[in-house]
Amino acid sequence: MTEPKAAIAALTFVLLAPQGVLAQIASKVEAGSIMTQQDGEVPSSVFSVAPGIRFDLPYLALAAHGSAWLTGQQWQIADGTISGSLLSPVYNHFRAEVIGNASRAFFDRSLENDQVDAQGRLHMLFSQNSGIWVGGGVARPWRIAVVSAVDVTGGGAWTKVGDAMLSGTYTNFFFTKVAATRDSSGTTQACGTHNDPVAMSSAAGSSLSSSAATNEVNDCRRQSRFSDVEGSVNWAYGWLELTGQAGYRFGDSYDVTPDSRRWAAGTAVVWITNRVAAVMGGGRIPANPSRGLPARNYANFGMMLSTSSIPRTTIPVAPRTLAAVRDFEVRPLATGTQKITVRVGGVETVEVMGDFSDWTPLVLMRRGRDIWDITLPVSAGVHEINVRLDGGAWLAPPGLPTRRDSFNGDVGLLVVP
Amino acid sequence: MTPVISRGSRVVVCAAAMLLGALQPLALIAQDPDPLSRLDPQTRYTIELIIDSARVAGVPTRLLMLKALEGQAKHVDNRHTIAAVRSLFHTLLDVRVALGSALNESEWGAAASALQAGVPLEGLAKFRGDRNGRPLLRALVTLTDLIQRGVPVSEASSAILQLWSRGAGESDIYGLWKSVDQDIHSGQNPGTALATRLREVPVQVAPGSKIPPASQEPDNPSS
Repeated sequence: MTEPKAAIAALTFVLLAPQGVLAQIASKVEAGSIMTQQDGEVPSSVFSVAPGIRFDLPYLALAAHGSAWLTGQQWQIADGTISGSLLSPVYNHFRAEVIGNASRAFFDRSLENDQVDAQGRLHMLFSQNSGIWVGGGVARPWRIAVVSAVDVTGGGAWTKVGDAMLSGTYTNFFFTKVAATRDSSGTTQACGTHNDPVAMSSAAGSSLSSSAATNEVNDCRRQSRFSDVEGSVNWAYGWLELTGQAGYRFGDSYDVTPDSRRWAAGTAVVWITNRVAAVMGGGRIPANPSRGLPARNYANFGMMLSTSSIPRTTIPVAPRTLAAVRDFEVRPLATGTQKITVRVGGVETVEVMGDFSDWTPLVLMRRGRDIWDITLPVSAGVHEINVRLDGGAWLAPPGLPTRRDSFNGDVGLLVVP
Repeated sequence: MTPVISRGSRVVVCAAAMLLGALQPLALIAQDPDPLSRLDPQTRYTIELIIDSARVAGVPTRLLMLKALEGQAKHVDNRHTIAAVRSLFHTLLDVRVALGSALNESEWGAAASALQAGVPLEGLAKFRGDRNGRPLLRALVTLTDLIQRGVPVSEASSAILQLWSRGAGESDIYGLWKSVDQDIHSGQNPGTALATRLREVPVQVAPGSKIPPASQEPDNPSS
């Protein structure tokens, strides 16, 4: 499917969302300069524009993002990803998640490929501030030397310490690829023998495969396995947000090149307004052998214009109480619309519902580090409203008069003049 | 092959990027033509019977439907949802007795909340007097909230009715609520906080009013 057709399909899906569904659309666009360098090559610098869009439902998130580079006088489409995540409610501290992605990676004409992948995860939430997950899945890349699906298994843990989020992951990759005859240290590899004329023909264009005209093929196929351990920390305070990560890759010298044993990167986001931020960062990205992408160093500096500043993370935090809410404000905008703003940090989702939505949950949009808002058509009068954080209990928002709701809970009473 | 974008497409890409960046958060609230379809058939049938009764009785039916949807959204079992809707129906009948039928939907709801919070029927009926076009909403919402926070019903009713009768407007009553709310959060006894703050409300006495001036104690002082 060509890019315009894909864009039209995505827009159509958004506009034809099922009836009765309440959702939000968030978007952001980043523009700036990216400098990259692969080992042994001259650093290159490009101007990049990276738009993204997200469609959120209470337990479903769909997202698409991409990037385009300005090289010389021409734009060229670079990476693109469409992803979806389906989360179950929390049952006895457990929560399930299914993730699907379709992506395209583009470095240059000789390094471009596509991949679809799916993963399942089981999260266990210990408390308000920590949890672990385990999961596995499969990825299928195209147009590279990998001739099997890539099995991905792993797990992770996360915890919150003050305003910081610490997380660690262990991910294991296993796949079969058409091999080079020498490993990264120059040692000659043994080549396997098998009968596979179809695979042979598909690999015929590769200089990596040895020549053979019969059904018995003597190409180099190798079972690759490596494991990544990565730790990251995210700390945010006021207008400043810092993220850093570092990792180490386990595996033999064939699967893990020396330039991908260790890596580290950092990003700083400085929020100028609630919607505009300066973004800067740099570091090293390890190679992705399952997609044939090399390791590289990078540095970037740019601006972000966003209706949703921070991407949804893969960590589904436990429900938090309203004590975490620092501010709840309802402000009239144009005739008949009210802007509801909630200031709360360290949560993944904030929802409201009330008579104005026929008691259907509405997901608030994240802006900046800890500001969430939504603009709604709300008529004059008294409206009952509840709020919840991270899928927890429905509670009366702070700062509003309340009353019992007949169901052993409270509702806030919002008076719209 | 490297995809290359033409000059025209470049304009489209730039425009799309700007549009994405400028896109305001927009809540897509699809209108559900049949919201009660979320209920299971048996519950729906019972709720519709109550709604039909309300329609015949001349009380607002939408409030009953919303109560049913609220129960469903909060995963309350069907039996409790039906009980809540039935209770609200009976409360709305009481509201009609106390305040008449010339109310808008919000006033019906606010009055029902006050009754369910414990305000006696005769207490609510006192708000039926001269309204001078003033909306009842703020007074009833504040009254309900004060009772929920622990102010005795008689004191809360007396205080709000006193303000109402003295011609207090929305801002006066809201100001009182904010002050009392702060005092309660700072640890004061709710009844004491209300009595103290009530004396500070600067409202004008309506011409010909028989209500005592603001400096006097409420009708039923408790502290």
